[in-house]
Amino acid sequence: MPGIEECLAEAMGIGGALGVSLVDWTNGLAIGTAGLGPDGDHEVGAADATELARAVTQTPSFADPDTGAPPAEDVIVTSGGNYHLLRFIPASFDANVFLYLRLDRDLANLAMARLRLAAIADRLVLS
Amino acid sequence: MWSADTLAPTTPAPPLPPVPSVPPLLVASPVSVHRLVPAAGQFGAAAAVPGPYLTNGPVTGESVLPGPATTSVTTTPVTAAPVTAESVTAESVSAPPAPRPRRAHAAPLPRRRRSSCAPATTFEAALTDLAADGSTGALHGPGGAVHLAGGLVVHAEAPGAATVGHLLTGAGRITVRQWEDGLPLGAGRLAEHLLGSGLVGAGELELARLAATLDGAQEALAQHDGELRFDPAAVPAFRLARPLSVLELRGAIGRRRSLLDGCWPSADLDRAPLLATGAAPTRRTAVPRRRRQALLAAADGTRTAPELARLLGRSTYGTLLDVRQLAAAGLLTAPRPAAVPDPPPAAVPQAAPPDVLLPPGPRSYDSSDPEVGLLLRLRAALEAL
Repeated sequence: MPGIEECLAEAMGIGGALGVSLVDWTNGLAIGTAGLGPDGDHEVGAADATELARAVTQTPSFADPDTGAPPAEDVIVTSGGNYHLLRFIPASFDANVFLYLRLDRDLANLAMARLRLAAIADRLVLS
Repeated sequence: MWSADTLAPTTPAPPLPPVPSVPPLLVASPVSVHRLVPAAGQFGAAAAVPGPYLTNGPVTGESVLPGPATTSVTTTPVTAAPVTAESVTAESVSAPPAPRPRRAHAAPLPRRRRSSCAPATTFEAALTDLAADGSTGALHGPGGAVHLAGGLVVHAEAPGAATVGHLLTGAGRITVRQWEDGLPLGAGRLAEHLLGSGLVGAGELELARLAATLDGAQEALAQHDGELRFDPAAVPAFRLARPLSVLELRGAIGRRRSLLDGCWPSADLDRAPLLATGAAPTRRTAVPRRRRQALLAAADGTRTAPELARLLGRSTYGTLLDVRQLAAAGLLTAPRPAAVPDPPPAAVPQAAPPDVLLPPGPRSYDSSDPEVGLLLRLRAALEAL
């Protein structure tokens, strides 16, 4: 049963990973970090990613509430040099957290990274 | 975070900022001026004590004045605990032998980090001061407690907030029996027991600890009245693996509150018994269907949001977020107005006329008549002279 630090270290092993953090989107706290944040600042990156996560979880169009499933699984943003991957943690209680992984666009395989991050997110909370 | 040696002034009087007319302490603190000036005057003599909140004895003059809400009412919370054992020893050990010269003006408060978010309540202010001193222990108030270790927040709890046990048992991760089996181990070893028995994963336990800490801190930081007490010997039930600075905690709580207000800008439903209206929603909500249905089914007009959270095994905050969204969609309401948290101060207790002067038997006057009541009070006051 890995802890948060082990999961973050594992996420940094994904090809092209630049930095990863575990963020609580109700309050913007970076609970754990590894690698480098955007512009070297994980706190700012966590705050910005929180805005994105709130936009998804708090709006009915994206949260898709009628399926009965947890609000959203992930968010992918593609910028000039990076992929930004947000993966929501399916905690059994109200842990409103997500993994925020930044990838180098030239080095990363987006489909593979998404699958591996999903597996890490599941392992974080399910023993 | 802010170690005392880096932040305590080495020179007796660092230069003041260019706006010295009102010292920063008086701006940053919710406590009114007339209470702080004498406290700041003591600062030079009691520099090793965690803060002015713990050095003042109770102000007895205010407690006997039950008048209407005036500025003096807001200052009563500062009548904090007596000087604790830790602060006494710290003073005796680290205080210089020669007393420092008293400053003519209020102390420039060298160790409190001034930022855009000034402490909004007396609890926040006291916690900020304790953290700046690198204190270890628990700051208790009537509505919750925050545990510090070396000036960093490691745990928080509040009477109505969800605990780690509520979260884990409510979510079905462990049974109530398994939880109760671990309780006799006492504070501090419960986490080892849960991890060692393989019941809960390390990641999940840390998330539960954080959720419980933030739930407790949200209640605790809002305390603005009541007596505060610092207990250096308190041992928290759980410790965050990554402790938070007080500034981080206050920022996090503030963002949580603003998210709530963004959904439905009223705190009326936070403590009131909730009732499902049964009406069709006026708009779609982002609350997942199962969560929504369970919450609406349990909202029977008798349970408040924190009680619903415990019943459903959810965090208090997550439930409040759902409640406000459902209220915005017209699905939840409070059947009667929320209990007023601060009832107006009781009327001045009327000095009853001495019974010995009254004739026996039923009174011949109607004391509910305001004019009669006024005459009775006047008579009682005259007799008391």
